Amino acid sequence: MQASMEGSNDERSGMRGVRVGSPAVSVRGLTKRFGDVTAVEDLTFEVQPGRVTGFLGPNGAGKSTTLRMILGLVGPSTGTASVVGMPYRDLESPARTVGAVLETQSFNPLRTGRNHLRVLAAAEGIDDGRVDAVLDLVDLSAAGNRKAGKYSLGMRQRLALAGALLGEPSILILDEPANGLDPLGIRWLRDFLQRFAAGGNAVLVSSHQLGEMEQMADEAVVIYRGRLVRQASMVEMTADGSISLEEAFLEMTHGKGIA
Amino acid sequence: MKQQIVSEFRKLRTTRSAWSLLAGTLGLIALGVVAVLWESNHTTLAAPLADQPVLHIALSLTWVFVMILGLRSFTDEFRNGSIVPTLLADPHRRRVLAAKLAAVGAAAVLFTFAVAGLTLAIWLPWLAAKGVAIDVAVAPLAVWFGRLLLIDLLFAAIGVGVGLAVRHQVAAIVGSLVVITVVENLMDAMAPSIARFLPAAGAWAVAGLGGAFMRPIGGALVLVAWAMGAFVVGAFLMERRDIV
Repeated sequence: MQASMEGSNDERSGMRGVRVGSPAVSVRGLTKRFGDVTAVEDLTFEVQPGRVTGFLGPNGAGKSTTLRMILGLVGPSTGTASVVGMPYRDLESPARTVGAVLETQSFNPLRTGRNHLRVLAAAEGIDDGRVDAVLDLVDLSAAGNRKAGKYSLGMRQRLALAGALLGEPSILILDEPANGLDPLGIRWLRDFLQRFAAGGNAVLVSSHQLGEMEQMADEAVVIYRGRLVRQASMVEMTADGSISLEEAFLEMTHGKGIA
Repeated sequence: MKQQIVSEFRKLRTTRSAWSLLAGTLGLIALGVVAVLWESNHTTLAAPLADQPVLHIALSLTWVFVMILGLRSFTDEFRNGSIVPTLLADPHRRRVLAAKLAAVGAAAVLFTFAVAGLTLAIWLPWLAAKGVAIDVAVAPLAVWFGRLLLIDLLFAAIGVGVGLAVRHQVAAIVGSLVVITVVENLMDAMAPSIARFLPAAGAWAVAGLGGAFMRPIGGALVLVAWAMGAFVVGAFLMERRDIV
Protein backbone atom coordinates (compact mmCIF):
# COMPACT_ATOMS: atom_id res chain seq x y z
CA MET A 1 0.00 0.00 0.00
CA GLN A 2 1.07 3.51 -0.57
CA ALA A 3 1.69 5.52 2.54
CA SER A 4 0.82 8.94 1.22
CA MET A 5 -0.34 11.74 3.45
CA GLU A 6 -3.97 12.74 3.62
CA GLY A 7 -5.88 15.46 5.32
CA SER A 8 -5.97 19.11 4.46
CA ASN A 9 -4.99 21.91 6.72
CA ASP A 10 -5.52 25.60 6.63
CA GLU A 11 -2.83 28.16 7.39
CA ARG A 12 -4.39 29.35 10.62
CA SER A 13 -4.57 26.27 12.67
CA GLY A 14 -3.45 23.11 10.99
CA MET A 15 -7.07 21.94 10.87
CA ARG A 16 -10.16 23.09 9.09
CA GLY A 17 -12.31 25.16 11.37
CA VAL A 18 -10.18 24.67 14.47
CA ARG A 19 -8.66 27.48 16.41
CA VAL A 20 -5.11 26.95 17.59
CA GLY A 21 -5.19 25.12 20.89
CA SER A 22 -8.80 24.04 20.51
CA PRO A 23 -9.63 20.36 20.70
CA ALA A 24 -10.61 18.55 17.52
CA VAL A 25 -13.12 16.46 19.44
CA SER A 26 -14.58 17.36 22.80
CA VAL A 27 -16.76 15.13 24.96
CA ARG A 28 -18.37 16.68 28.04
CA GLY A 29 -20.34 14.75 30.63
CA LEU A 30 -21.59 12.33 28.02
CA THR A 31 -24.07 9.75 29.25
CA LYS A 32 -26.11 7.22 27.30
CA ARG A 33 -28.75 4.98 28.76
CA PHE A 34 -30.52 2.24 26.83
CA GLY A 35 -33.48 1.51 29.07
CA ASP A 36 -32.06 0.35 32.37
CA VAL A 37 -28.58 -0.12 30.97
CA THR A 38 -26.10 2.74 31.23
CA ALA A 39 -23.67 2.25 28.35
CA VAL A 40 -21.71 5.47 28.89
CA GLU A 41 -21.69 7.53 32.07
CA ASP A 42 -20.51 11.10 32.56
CA LEU A 43 -17.65 10.73 30.11
CA THR A 44 -15.37 13.70 29.52
CA PHE A 45 -12.27 13.81 27.34
CA GLU A 46 -10.68 15.71 24.47
CA VAL A 47 -8.84 14.79 21.32
CA GLN A 48 -6.13 17.20 20.26
CA PRO A 49 -4.87 17.88 16.75
CA GLY A 50 -1.45 16.51 15.87
CA ARG A 51 -1.89 13.39 17.96
CA VAL A 52 -3.11 9.84 17.61
CA THR A 53 -5.44 9.27 20.54
CA GLY A 54 -6.19 5.66 21.41
CA PHE A 55 -9.64 5.00 22.82
CA LEU A 56 -9.20 1.91 24.93
CA GLY A 57 -11.49 -0.34 26.86
CA PRO A 58 -12.63 -3.93 27.00
CA ASN A 59 -15.52 -5.18 24.89
CA GLY A 60 -18.74 -3.58 26.08
CA ALA A 61 -16.98 -0.66 27.74
CA GLY A 62 -18.95 1.86 25.68
CA LYS A 63 -16.34 2.77 23.06
CA SER A 64 -18.55 2.28 20.00
CA THR A 65 -21.52 4.00 21.63
CA THR A 66 -19.31 6.99 22.45
CA LEU A 67 -17.98 7.21 18.91
CA ARG A 68 -21.54 7.04 17.56
CA MET A 69 -22.60 9.84 19.87
CA ILE A 70 -19.69 11.98 18.65
CA LEU A 71 -20.83 11.33 15.07
CA GLY A 72 -24.50 12.07 15.72
CA LEU A 73 -25.72 8.54 15.09
CA VAL A 74 -26.75 8.00 18.70
CA GLY A 75 -28.34 10.71 20.77
CA PRO A 76 -26.84 11.22 24.24
CA SER A 77 -29.07 11.00 27.30
CA THR A 78 -27.13 13.88 28.80
CA GLY A 79 -23.92 15.73 27.99
CA THR A 80 -22.47 16.95 24.73
CA ALA A 81 -20.08 15.81 22.04
CA SER A 82 -18.61 18.28 19.61
CA VAL A 83 -16.30 18.21 16.64
CA VAL A 84 -14.28 21.38 15.98
CA GLY A 85 -16.50 23.08 18.53
CA MET A 86 -19.92 22.09 17.24
CA PRO A 87 -22.21 19.09 17.05
CA TYR A 88 -21.41 16.81 14.10
CA ARG A 89 -24.72 17.52 12.37
CA ASP A 90 -24.02 21.26 12.43
CA LEU A 91 -20.77 20.90 10.48
CA GLU A 92 -21.00 22.62 7.13
CA SER A 93 -19.30 19.75 5.36
CA PRO A 94 -19.08 16.76 7.73
CA ALA A 95 -17.22 14.39 5.43
CA ARG A 96 -14.61 17.03 4.62
CA THR A 97 -14.03 17.53 8.33
CA VAL A 98 -14.31 14.04 9.77
CA GLY A 99 -13.62 10.67 8.20
CA ALA A 100 -15.07 7.78 10.17
CA VAL A 101 -15.00 4.01 10.07
CA LEU A 102 -17.40 2.37 12.49
CA GLU A 103 -18.13 -0.99 10.91
CA THR A 104 -16.32 -3.26 8.53
CA GLN A 105 -19.59 -4.18 6.83
CA SER A 106 -21.16 -0.89 5.91
CA PHE A 107 -21.87 -1.27 2.21
CA ASN A 108 -24.25 -3.02 -0.11
CA PRO A 109 -22.48 -6.32 -0.89
CA LEU A 110 -23.94 -6.33 -4.40
CA ARG A 111 -22.33 -2.99 -5.27
CA THR A 112 -18.72 -2.82 -6.47
CA GLY A 113 -16.16 -1.19 -4.22
CA ARG A 114 -15.71 1.62 -6.71
CA ASN A 115 -19.43 2.26 -6.99
CA HIS A 116 -19.79 2.20 -3.20
CA LEU A 117 -17.28 5.03 -3.03
CA ARG A 118 -18.93 6.86 -5.94
CA VAL A 119 -22.22 6.79 -4.04
CA LEU A 120 -20.52 8.33 -1.01
CA ALA A 121 -18.62 10.84 -3.15
CA ALA A 122 -21.86 12.06 -4.71
CA ALA A 123 -23.47 12.54 -1.30
CA GLU A 124 -20.46 14.51 -0.12
CA GLY A 125 -20.12 16.58 -3.29
CA ILE A 126 -16.72 15.10 -4.05
CA ASP A 127 -15.42 14.63 -7.56
CA ASP A 128 -15.34 11.04 -8.85
CA GLY A 129 -11.65 11.41 -9.56
CA ARG A 130 -11.04 11.28 -5.84
CA VAL A 131 -12.55 7.78 -5.76
CA ASP A 132 -9.71 6.35 -7.83
CA ALA A 133 -7.19 8.21 -5.69
CA VAL A 134 -8.43 6.68 -2.43
CA LEU A 135 -8.79 3.23 -4.00
CA ASP A 136 -5.15 3.51 -5.00
CA LEU A 137 -4.23 4.77 -1.55
CA VAL A 138 -5.65 1.67 0.17
CA ASP A 139 -4.41 -0.64 -2.58
CA LEU A 140 -7.85 -1.62 -3.85
CA SER A 141 -7.58 -0.27 -7.41
CA ALA A 142 -7.36 -3.72 -8.94
CA ALA A 143 -10.39 -4.91 -6.96
CA GLY A 144 -12.44 -1.74 -7.43
CA ASN A 145 -14.80 -3.29 -9.96
CA ARG A 146 -15.46 -6.41 -7.91
CA LYS A 147 -18.54 -6.65 -5.76
CA ALA A 148 -17.69 -5.56 -2.24
CA GLY A 149 -19.45 -8.63 -0.85
CA LYS A 150 -16.66 -10.74 -2.36
CA TYR A 151 -13.96 -8.83 -0.50
CA SER A 152 -11.94 -10.38 2.31
CA LEU A 153 -12.26 -8.89 5.79
CA GLY A 154 -9.05 -6.94 5.31
CA MET A 155 -10.22 -5.58 1.96
CA ARG A 156 -13.52 -4.51 3.54
CA GLN A 157 -11.62 -2.70 6.23
CA ARG A 158 -9.55 -0.90 3.61
CA LEU A 159 -12.67 -0.04 1.60
CA ALA A 160 -14.20 1.49 4.72
CA LEU A 161 -11.00 3.46 5.30
CA ALA A 162 -11.07 4.64 1.69
CA GLY A 163 -14.59 5.94 2.30
CA ALA A 164 -13.39 7.82 5.36
CA LEU A 165 -10.60 9.45 3.38
CA LEU A 166 -12.76 10.57 0.46
CA GLY A 167 -13.32 14.07 1.79
CA GLU A 168 -9.66 14.61 2.74
CA PRO A 169 -10.76 15.18 6.33
CA SER A 170 -8.66 16.67 9.10
CA ILE A 171 -10.05 14.30 11.74
CA LEU A 172 -10.24 10.53 11.61
CA ILE A 173 -12.46 8.55 13.97
CA LEU A 174 -11.91 4.82 13.62
CA ASP A 175 -13.52 1.96 15.51
CA GLU A 176 -11.25 -1.08 15.65
CA PRO A 177 -9.67 -0.35 12.25
CA ALA A 178 -6.98 -3.02 12.55
CA ASN A 179 -9.49 -5.88 12.74
CA GLY A 180 -9.01 -8.14 9.77
CA LEU A 181 -5.80 -6.54 8.60
CA ASP A 182 -2.73 -8.72 8.12
CA PRO A 183 0.59 -7.66 9.74
CA LEU A 184 1.59 -5.65 6.68
CA GLY A 185 -1.77 -3.93 6.66
CA ILE A 186 -1.53 -3.14 10.36
CA ARG A 187 1.90 -1.65 9.86
CA TRP A 188 0.66 0.41 6.94
CA LEU A 189 -2.25 1.65 9.04
CA ARG A 190 0.03 2.59 11.92
CA ASP A 191 2.41 4.49 9.66
CA PHE A 192 -0.46 6.16 7.87
CA LEU A 193 -2.22 7.36 11.03
CA GLN A 194 1.01 8.62 12.56
CA ARG A 195 1.85 10.59 9.40
CA PHE A 196 -1.73 11.87 9.26
CA ALA A 197 -1.48 13.15 12.82
CA ALA A 198 2.00 14.55 12.27
CA GLY A 199 0.48 16.78 9.59
CA GLY A 200 -1.53 18.58 12.27
CA ASN A 201 -4.58 16.36 11.97
CA ALA A 202 -6.37 14.47 14.72
CA VAL A 203 -6.97 10.75 15.07
CA LEU A 204 -9.26 9.02 17.56
CA VAL A 205 -8.93 5.29 17.21
CA SER A 206 -10.63 2.71 19.39
CA SER A 207 -9.09 -0.67 19.96
CA HIS A 208 -8.61 -3.43 22.43
CA GLN A 209 -5.33 -4.51 20.76
CA LEU A 210 -3.15 -2.91 23.38
CA GLY A 211 0.23 -3.90 21.93
CA GLU A 212 -0.67 -2.26 18.66
CA MET A 213 -2.06 0.83 20.36
CA GLU A 214 1.08 1.21 22.42
CA GLN A 215 3.05 1.57 19.20
CA MET A 216 0.48 3.65 17.37
CA ALA A 217 -0.98 6.16 19.81
CA ASP A 218 0.51 9.27 21.37
CA GLU A 219 -2.20 9.48 23.97
CA ALA A 220 -4.78 7.14 25.45
CA VAL A 221 -8.27 7.51 26.82
CA VAL A 222 -9.18 4.47 28.86
CA ILE A 223 -12.80 3.69 29.71
CA TYR A 224 -14.29 0.85 31.66
CA ARG A 225 -17.97 0.10 32.10
CA GLY A 226 -18.79 3.35 30.38
CA ARG A 227 -16.75 5.55 32.70
CA LEU A 228 -13.46 7.33 32.18
CA VAL A 229 -10.59 5.65 33.93
CA ARG A 230 -7.76 7.83 32.71
CA GLN A 231 -6.63 10.13 29.91
CA ALA A 232 -2.90 10.54 29.63
CA SER A 233 -0.04 10.48 27.18
CA MET A 234 1.29 7.05 26.27
CA VAL A 235 4.53 7.93 28.04
CA GLU A 236 2.66 8.68 31.25
CA MET A 237 0.41 5.66 30.82
CA THR A 238 3.38 3.30 30.58
CA ALA A 239 5.41 5.14 33.22
CA ASP A 240 7.95 6.14 30.59
CA GLY A 241 8.10 2.63 29.19
CA SER A 242 8.73 0.85 32.47
CA ILE A 243 5.47 -1.11 32.18
CA SER A 244 3.55 -2.21 29.12
CA LEU A 245 0.25 -0.63 28.17
CA GLU A 246 -1.37 -3.99 28.80
CA GLU A 247 -0.09 -4.04 32.37
CA ALA A 248 -1.18 -0.46 32.90
CA PHE A 249 -4.57 -1.19 31.36
CA LEU A 250 -5.19 -4.26 33.51
CA GLU A 251 -4.13 -2.36 36.60
CA MET A 252 -6.53 0.47 35.74
CA THR A 253 -9.51 -1.68 34.83
CA HIS A 254 -9.14 -4.57 37.22
CA GLY A 255 -6.99 -3.02 39.88
CA LYS A 256 -7.48 0.04 41.95
CA GLY A 257 -7.48 2.76 39.34
CA ILE A 258 -11.11 3.02 38.33
CA ALA A 259 -12.22 6.61 38.59
CA MET B 1 -29.95 18.26 -1.23
CA LYS B 2 -28.96 17.87 -4.88
CA GLN B 3 -25.87 15.91 -3.86
CA GLN B 4 -27.95 13.52 -1.79
CA ILE B 5 -30.42 12.97 -4.64
CA VAL B 6 -27.56 12.20 -7.04
CA SER B 7 -26.20 9.75 -4.48
CA GLU B 8 -29.59 8.05 -4.13
CA PHE B 9 -29.88 7.71 -7.91
CA ARG B 10 -26.46 6.09 -7.95
CA LYS B 11 -27.59 3.65 -5.29
CA LEU B 12 -30.50 2.61 -7.48
CA ARG B 13 -28.42 2.37 -10.63
CA THR B 14 -25.41 0.52 -9.27
CA THR B 15 -26.97 -2.69 -8.02
CA ARG B 16 -29.09 -5.14 -9.89
CA SER B 17 -31.94 -4.98 -7.37
CA ALA B 18 -33.91 -2.15 -8.95
CA TRP B 19 -33.29 -3.43 -12.47
CA SER B 20 -34.35 -6.94 -11.45
CA LEU B 21 -37.51 -5.55 -9.94
CA LEU B 22 -38.24 -3.64 -13.16
CA ALA B 23 -37.56 -6.75 -15.23
CA GLY B 24 -39.85 -8.78 -12.98
CA THR B 25 -42.58 -6.17 -13.29
CA LEU B 26 -42.33 -6.08 -17.07
CA GLY B 27 -42.25 -9.86 -17.29
CA LEU B 28 -45.38 -10.22 -15.20
CA ILE B 29 -47.16 -7.43 -17.08
CA ALA B 30 -46.29 -9.05 -20.41
CA LEU B 31 -47.59 -12.40 -19.20
CA GLY B 32 -50.77 -10.84 -17.89
CA VAL B 33 -51.42 -8.81 -21.02
CA VAL B 34 -50.83 -11.78 -23.31
CA ALA B 35 -53.02 -14.03 -21.14
CA VAL B 36 -55.88 -11.53 -21.19
CA LEU B 37 -55.59 -11.00 -24.94
CA TRP B 38 -55.38 -14.75 -25.53
CA GLU B 39 -58.65 -15.27 -23.67
CA SER B 40 -60.43 -12.32 -25.30
CA ASN B 41 -62.92 -12.73 -28.08
CA HIS B 42 -63.61 -10.20 -30.81
CA THR B 43 -66.30 -8.47 -28.76
CA THR B 44 -64.04 -8.01 -25.77
CA LEU B 45 -61.17 -6.79 -27.90
CA ALA B 46 -63.43 -4.24 -29.55
CA ALA B 47 -64.77 -2.86 -26.26
CA PRO B 48 -64.29 0.82 -25.42
CA LEU B 49 -60.95 1.73 -23.85
CA ALA B 50 -62.38 2.16 -20.38
CA ASP B 51 -63.63 -1.43 -20.44
CA GLN B 52 -60.48 -2.99 -21.86
CA PRO B 53 -59.33 -5.61 -19.33
CA VAL B 54 -55.87 -5.53 -20.86
CA LEU B 55 -55.38 -2.02 -19.49
CA HIS B 56 -56.34 -3.16 -16.02
CA ILE B 57 -53.27 -5.39 -15.75
CA ALA B 58 -50.85 -2.50 -15.31
CA LEU B 59 -53.21 -0.74 -12.90
CA SER B 60 -53.46 -3.88 -10.78
CA LEU B 61 -49.83 -4.96 -10.60
CA THR B 62 -47.30 -2.17 -11.08
CA TRP B 63 -47.84 -0.44 -7.75
CA VAL B 64 -47.01 -3.62 -5.83
CA PHE B 65 -43.52 -3.67 -7.34
CA VAL B 66 -43.04 0.06 -6.92
CA MET B 67 -44.06 -0.28 -3.28
CA ILE B 68 -41.43 -3.02 -2.83
CA LEU B 69 -38.84 -0.72 -4.41
CA GLY B 70 -39.80 1.95 -1.89
CA LEU B 71 -39.75 -0.52 1.00
CA ARG B 72 -36.25 -1.60 0.02
CA SER B 73 -34.84 1.92 -0.21
CA PHE B 74 -34.30 2.14 3.54
CA THR B 75 -34.52 -1.50 4.60
CA ASP B 76 -31.61 -2.38 2.28
CA GLU B 77 -29.49 0.24 4.03
CA PHE B 78 -30.38 -0.97 7.51
CA ARG B 79 -29.85 -4.56 6.45
CA ASN B 80 -26.37 -4.12 5.02
CA GLY B 81 -25.16 -1.36 7.33
CA SER B 82 -24.73 1.28 4.64
CA ILE B 83 -27.10 3.55 6.58
CA VAL B 84 -24.04 4.50 8.68
CA PRO B 85 -21.93 6.04 5.89
CA THR B 86 -25.13 7.51 4.41
CA LEU B 87 -25.85 9.42 7.63
CA LEU B 88 -22.22 10.33 8.15
CA ALA B 89 -22.14 11.92 4.71
CA ASP B 90 -25.34 13.82 5.44
CA PRO B 91 -26.37 13.84 9.10
CA HIS B 92 -29.58 15.71 8.30
CA ARG B 93 -31.89 12.73 8.32
CA ARG B 94 -34.94 14.44 6.87
CA ARG B 95 -32.84 15.49 3.89
CA VAL B 96 -31.78 11.89 3.36
CA LEU B 97 -35.43 10.86 3.56
CA ALA B 98 -36.47 13.53 1.05
CA ALA B 99 -33.68 12.47 -1.32
CA LYS B 100 -34.75 8.85 -1.14
CA LEU B 101 -38.34 9.85 -1.81
CA ALA B 102 -37.22 11.84 -4.86
CA ALA B 103 -35.12 8.97 -6.22
CA VAL B 104 -37.78 6.30 -5.66
CA GLY B 105 -40.43 8.64 -7.06
CA ALA B 106 -38.35 9.07 -10.22
CA ALA B 107 -37.96 5.31 -10.42
CA ALA B 108 -41.75 4.99 -10.09
CA VAL B 109 -42.12 7.28 -13.10
CA LEU B 110 -39.68 5.07 -15.03
CA PHE B 111 -41.63 1.93 -14.03
CA THR B 112 -44.89 3.59 -15.11
CA PHE B 113 -43.57 4.61 -18.53
CA ALA B 114 -42.01 1.17 -19.09
CA VAL B 115 -45.16 -0.70 -18.10
CA ALA B 116 -47.45 1.56 -20.12
CA GLY B 117 -45.18 1.31 -23.14
CA LEU B 118 -44.98 -2.48 -22.89
CA THR B 119 -48.75 -2.81 -22.54
CA LEU B 120 -49.38 -0.72 -25.64
CA ALA B 121 -46.55 -2.44 -27.53
CA ILE B 122 -48.26 -5.80 -27.06
CA TRP B 123 -51.89 -4.73 -27.17
CA LEU B 124 -52.00 -2.54 -30.29
CA PRO B 125 -50.17 -4.96 -32.63
CA TRP B 126 -52.38 -7.76 -31.25
CA LEU B 127 -55.50 -5.81 -32.21
CA ALA B 128 -54.08 -5.18 -35.67
CA ALA B 129 -53.22 -8.83 -36.11
CA LYS B 130 -56.77 -9.82 -35.15
CA GLY B 131 -58.24 -7.23 -37.47
CA VAL B 132 -59.95 -5.38 -34.63
CA ALA B 133 -60.37 -1.66 -35.17
CA ILE B 134 -61.06 0.43 -32.06
CA ASP B 135 -60.94 4.12 -31.41
CA VAL B 136 -57.63 4.57 -29.56
CA ALA B 137 -58.14 8.18 -28.51
CA VAL B 138 -55.43 10.08 -26.68
CA ALA B 139 -57.66 11.40 -23.89
CA PRO B 140 -58.78 8.07 -22.40
CA LEU B 141 -55.25 6.70 -22.75
CA ALA B 142 -53.94 9.77 -20.93
CA VAL B 143 -56.47 9.19 -18.15
CA TRP B 144 -55.34 5.58 -17.89
CA PHE B 145 -51.68 6.63 -17.78
CA GLY B 146 -52.43 9.37 -15.26
CA ARG B 147 -54.15 6.92 -12.93
CA LEU B 148 -51.27 4.48 -13.29
CA LEU B 149 -48.70 7.19 -12.54
CA LEU B 150 -50.63 8.56 -9.55
CA ILE B 151 -51.03 5.12 -7.96
CA ASP B 152 -47.35 4.28 -8.52
CA LEU B 153 -46.08 7.57 -7.09
CA LEU B 154 -48.23 7.30 -3.98
CA PHE B 155 -47.23 3.69 -3.36
CA ALA B 156 -43.57 4.67 -3.83
CA ALA B 157 -44.05 7.14 -0.97
CA ILE B 158 -45.94 4.59 1.12
CA GLY B 159 -43.11 2.09 0.57
CA VAL B 160 -40.38 4.55 1.59
CA GLY B 161 -42.27 5.58 4.73
CA VAL B 162 -43.20 2.06 5.82
CA GLY B 163 -39.68 0.78 5.12
CA LEU B 164 -38.25 3.52 7.27
CA ALA B 165 -40.71 2.91 10.08
CA VAL B 166 -40.29 -0.88 10.13
CA ARG B 167 -36.58 -1.06 9.12
CA HIS B 168 -36.51 -4.89 9.08
CA GLN B 169 -36.63 -5.82 5.41
CA VAL B 170 -38.43 -9.14 5.57
CA ALA B 171 -40.96 -7.83 8.06
CA ALA B 172 -41.62 -4.73 5.95
CA ILE B 173 -42.08 -6.55 2.64
CA VAL B 174 -43.93 -9.60 3.93
CA GLY B 175 -46.04 -7.49 6.29
CA SER B 176 -47.05 -5.09 3.52
CA LEU B 177 -47.92 -7.91 1.12
CA VAL B 178 -49.95 -9.64 3.81
CA VAL B 179 -51.85 -6.43 4.51
CA ILE B 180 -52.77 -5.80 0.88
CA THR B 181 -53.58 -9.40 -0.02
CA VAL B 182 -54.92 -11.02 3.13
CA VAL B 183 -55.90 -8.38 5.66
CA GLU B 184 -57.67 -6.19 3.14
CA ASN B 185 -59.67 -9.13 1.79
CA LEU B 186 -60.66 -10.20 5.30
CA MET B 187 -61.62 -6.65 6.16
CA ASP B 188 -63.58 -6.40 2.95
CA ALA B 189 -65.59 -9.45 3.97
CA MET B 190 -66.06 -8.46 7.59
CA ALA B 191 -66.16 -4.67 7.55
CA PRO B 192 -66.41 -3.29 4.01
CA SER B 193 -67.09 0.24 5.23
CA ILE B 194 -63.64 0.25 6.83
CA ALA B 195 -61.90 -1.81 4.14
CA ARG B 196 -62.46 0.84 1.51
CA PHE B 197 -60.09 3.13 3.37
CA LEU B 198 -57.20 0.65 3.14
CA PRO B 199 -54.35 1.13 0.63
CA ALA B 200 -55.15 -1.54 -1.96
CA ALA B 201 -58.80 -0.46 -1.96
CA GLY B 202 -57.60 3.08 -2.60
CA ALA B 203 -55.56 1.85 -5.56
CA TRP B 204 -58.56 0.01 -7.00
CA ALA B 205 -60.67 3.12 -6.64
CA VAL B 206 -58.10 5.35 -8.39
CA ALA B 207 -57.87 2.74 -11.13
CA GLY B 208 -61.62 3.00 -11.61
CA LEU B 209 -62.04 -0.59 -10.47
CA GLY B 210 -63.46 0.18 -7.07
CA GLY B 211 -67.06 -0.30 -8.11
CA ALA B 212 -69.64 1.66 -6.21
CA PHE B 213 -67.61 1.79 -3.00
CA MET B 214 -65.43 4.74 -3.87
CA ARG B 215 -64.79 7.10 -6.76
CA PRO B 216 -61.26 7.67 -8.09
CA ILE B 217 -60.88 10.99 -6.29
CA GLY B 218 -61.82 9.31 -3.01
CA GLY B 219 -59.27 6.58 -3.68
CA ALA B 220 -56.63 9.20 -4.40
CA LEU B 221 -57.37 10.90 -1.08
CA VAL B 222 -57.11 7.57 0.71
CA LEU B 223 -53.71 6.90 -0.86
CA VAL B 224 -52.47 10.43 -0.15
CA ALA B 225 -53.48 9.96 3.50
CA TRP B 226 -51.64 6.63 3.71
CA ALA B 227 -48.57 8.08 1.98
CA MET B 228 -48.50 11.11 4.28
CA GLY B 229 -49.09 8.95 7.34
CA ALA B 230 -46.29 6.54 6.44
CA PHE B 231 -43.97 9.42 5.59
CA VAL B 232 -44.67 11.36 8.79
CA VAL B 233 -44.28 8.29 11.01
CA GLY B 234 -41.09 7.31 9.17
CA ALA B 235 -39.65 10.81 9.45
CA PHE B 236 -40.52 11.03 13.14
CA LEU B 237 -38.86 7.70 13.92
CA MET B 238 -35.88 8.54 11.70
CA GLU B 239 -35.17 11.67 13.73
CA ARG B 240 -35.46 9.95 17.09
CA ARG B 241 -33.88 6.59 16.55
CA ASP B 242 -30.34 5.71 17.47
CA ILE B 243 -28.29 4.09 14.72
CA VAL B 244 -26.57 1.33 16.67
